[in-house]
Amino acid sequence: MTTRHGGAALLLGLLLVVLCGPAPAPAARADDPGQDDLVAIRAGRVITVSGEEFAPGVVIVRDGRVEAVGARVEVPRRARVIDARDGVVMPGFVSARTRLGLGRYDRGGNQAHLSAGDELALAEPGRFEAALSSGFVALGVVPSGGGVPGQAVAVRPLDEAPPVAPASGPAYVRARLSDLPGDKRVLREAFKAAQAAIDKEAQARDEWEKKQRAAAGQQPGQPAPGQPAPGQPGQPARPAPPPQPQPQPPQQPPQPQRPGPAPGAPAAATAPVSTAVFVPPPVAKNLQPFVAWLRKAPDAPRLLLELGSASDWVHLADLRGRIELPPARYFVSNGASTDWHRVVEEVGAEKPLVLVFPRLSFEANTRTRVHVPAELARAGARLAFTPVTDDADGYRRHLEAAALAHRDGVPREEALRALTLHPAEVLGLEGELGAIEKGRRADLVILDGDPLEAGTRVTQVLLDGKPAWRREGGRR
Amino acid sequence: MSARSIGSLLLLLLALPVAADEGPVCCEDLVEGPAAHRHDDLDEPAPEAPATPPAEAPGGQAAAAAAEKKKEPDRWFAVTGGDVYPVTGPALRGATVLARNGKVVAIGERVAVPAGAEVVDARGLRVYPGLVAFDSSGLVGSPPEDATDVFGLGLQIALASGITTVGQGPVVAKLTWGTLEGHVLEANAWLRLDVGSGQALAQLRGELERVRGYLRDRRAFEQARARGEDVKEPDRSWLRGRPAQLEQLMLGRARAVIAASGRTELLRVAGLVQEYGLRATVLGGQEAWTVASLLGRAGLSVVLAPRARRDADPQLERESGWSIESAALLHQAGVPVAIVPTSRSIGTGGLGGNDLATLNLEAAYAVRGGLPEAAALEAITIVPARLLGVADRVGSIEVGKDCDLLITDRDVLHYEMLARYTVVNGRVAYDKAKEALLRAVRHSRDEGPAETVPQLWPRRPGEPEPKMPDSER
Repeated sequence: MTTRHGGAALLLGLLLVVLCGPAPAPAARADDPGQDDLVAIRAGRVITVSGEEFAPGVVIVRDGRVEAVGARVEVPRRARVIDARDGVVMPGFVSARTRLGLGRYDRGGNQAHLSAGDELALAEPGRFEAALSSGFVALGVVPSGGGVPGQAVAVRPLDEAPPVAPASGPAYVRARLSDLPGDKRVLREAFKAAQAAIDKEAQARDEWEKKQRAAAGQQPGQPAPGQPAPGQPGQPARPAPPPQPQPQPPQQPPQPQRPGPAPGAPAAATAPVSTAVFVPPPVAKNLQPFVAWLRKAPDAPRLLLELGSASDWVHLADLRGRIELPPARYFVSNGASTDWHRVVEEVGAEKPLVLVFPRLSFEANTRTRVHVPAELARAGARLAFTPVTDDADGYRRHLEAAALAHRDGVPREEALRALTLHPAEVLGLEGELGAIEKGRRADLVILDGDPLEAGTRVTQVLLDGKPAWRREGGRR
Repeated sequence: MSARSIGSLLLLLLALPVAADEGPVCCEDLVEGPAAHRHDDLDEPAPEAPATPPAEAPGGQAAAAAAEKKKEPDRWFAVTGGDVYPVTGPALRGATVLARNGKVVAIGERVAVPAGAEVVDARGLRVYPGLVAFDSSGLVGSPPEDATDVFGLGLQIALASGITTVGQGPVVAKLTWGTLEGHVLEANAWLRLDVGSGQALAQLRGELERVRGYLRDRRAFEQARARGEDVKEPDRSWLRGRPAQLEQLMLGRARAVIAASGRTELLRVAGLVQEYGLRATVLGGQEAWTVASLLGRAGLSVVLAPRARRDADPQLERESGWSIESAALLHQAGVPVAIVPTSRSIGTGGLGGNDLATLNLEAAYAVRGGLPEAAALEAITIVPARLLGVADRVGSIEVGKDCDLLITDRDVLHYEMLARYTVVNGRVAYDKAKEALLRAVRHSRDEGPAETVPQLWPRRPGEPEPKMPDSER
């Protein structure tokens, strides 16, 4: 097989060389020193991922964002031109779950309030070099450990690890359900404690309302303090609560399942401790995401659930029977030997977003081959590839692994989305990254061939339309 | 009256609650909804007895009609045409076992199978109740509902060996493949007592005495109160944890398991359970055969590993050590015997024939020592089910019990016996033809030729290396 591959790669290489002719002078850029905020990329082919492909195609970038893409797009005269007419331009790759360059530690229990972002300052420079040079433009850095180790952050693969989208909050909360029974217990207990916190608040609110009503009863005719639009005294009307300005930390989930009287905004602003405004009892920081999930709050963080084996999926279903879990994305850890084939239909039926290694496996304890990503895709799941090994080597081989996954049965469109759009969605960046579309970030990668052909290499990586990395030493 | 006949009497007494409905096994008298519902909710320890024997009712159709009235669709499962060996009743040739929502609702030769039922064609095969292993290790997680690997290799090998229920410590669990539904049968089936040393025995006696004192005071208090006297209730604040468990034990509501293998320990156990009126099971019991009648008189049951060795002591003038006849002699003395293998886990490292995967061969070994075959089958089905307190659910094929079946083409005690299908809670948990594990093994001609080897594991010596995946895949 190896020889076959080598042969194919050689053939392809030769073909490319023949087709492309001599490399264009790297001075193309210097020849055309347009404005930095206006970039035009001429490409042999543009793969937009979300839409059609253009061959050849042009991508216009203004202020770091895609302004236009198409086959017949006029290149503004002022634009700085990047010539990739012998290459393929596509959205940069995204790795949604990584610890690249960071140490490993075992954190257990529910640490949902901790963020991996705090670790980034500790890592040494150059740790993302392999990711950037392999065409990655965004990394979801996760905290290490089991249970609920904390929040992931989306950063760019640069030394200072700038966030991809400023002030976007955590990319997701990472939770593991594979080291049983510990992980299952952590999740169950966290949800139980969150439910207790919700009940406690409801009770406190009830008591507060009672007091308010008592006060209103003593002074009939006068509106109860903090009740701007009172109903009949003694028979409090319960209007739907208007959006409440809360003098609370921003993490505070929005209020109640039980509609309560709205605290008057001026009272809330002036009276720090007053019975006029209902002050919910504080919720422990590591329970706040769980409270938000149970309340189905619109700003609840996303959840990534890591599952080790098919049995964990069954345990997840069991957990779902007891607790109403939020919609989650999954990380399916498909090893060299796997039993995920036993539940692919059930997983796929949910049409979930699944992080998965682009690899071929053996069915556990057999010599029967199974390609879990292909099976998942067939069953209806949306794939997001994550490097098979979470190190420089894994990143360097990621594109080739995706090509092999395509060869082994993952449809082309799905494989392309699994490299770009879907992992971006895992990070909550689906409108920002992952496709070449008007308005999206021009975080692009230029390849020397089709991305799903084995042997294709990254020649250039653009961040905000500006070259961030370029292959040295010319072409093969 | 000889000790032996007393023993048999005791056995009879022990067996009574279950034996009550061990008449000819047959169709439930399914007439209308309520009747059909009866078995859905089995909380009582003993299964309800179908009042009337056989009367081959048009079971399936009536039940199907009743099912239509219900909102949730019933899950029907049928094994048709097999020779059914219910263990607690006579064998039925070419019979059908019909289950609804995991419970057996009809057994008989002319049971109609409702449309939409999942059917396993068992013509030419034998249908046994799923085997019950009193003790096991490594199959069930701790706690089971949070940690069992429901796709584990050990689980599959156990199912392939016909085992459907295992005890692991005091937990009794079903080997539910791919689901946690109905996984745990009993979270606390028994209490372990230690009489391994004189000190442990003395401590246990002390605890039991204290509980007995309390129970005596309690009874005196209740009698006094009944007489209308104003008396103080005895303090039961200390009855927490283990003392509370011992109280349940002394009230006959719980069962004890006592590890004992030597004659001295066994006599200690016999004395203890007689003195305090405990329901207890001996685990081990290599020398139990030397005191079989004493154990029978004490009402003890024994969980035996027939091949667990214990050398005879040449210094002694009496019989000692292990014996191939252990199970047979205990059975003769009226001691209920459950059989377990020497190694209680599933070994995948070539331990063939000495672990849980060969539970049936352990029973067969006891047959070699003189145990009747029927008793050997009981020793790996209904007897351990009784000793674990789950005989209302498993251990035999009876109307109202769980549909846990071993379907095989061999006698259950045959050395070639492998499950063709294993059914747990009315679901096929193992299908030999579908799992790579033993798919290639062929004992019977009608299974057809084995598949080509490169797809299978393990590779046989001399077979070519399997080809790596082609690019077409």
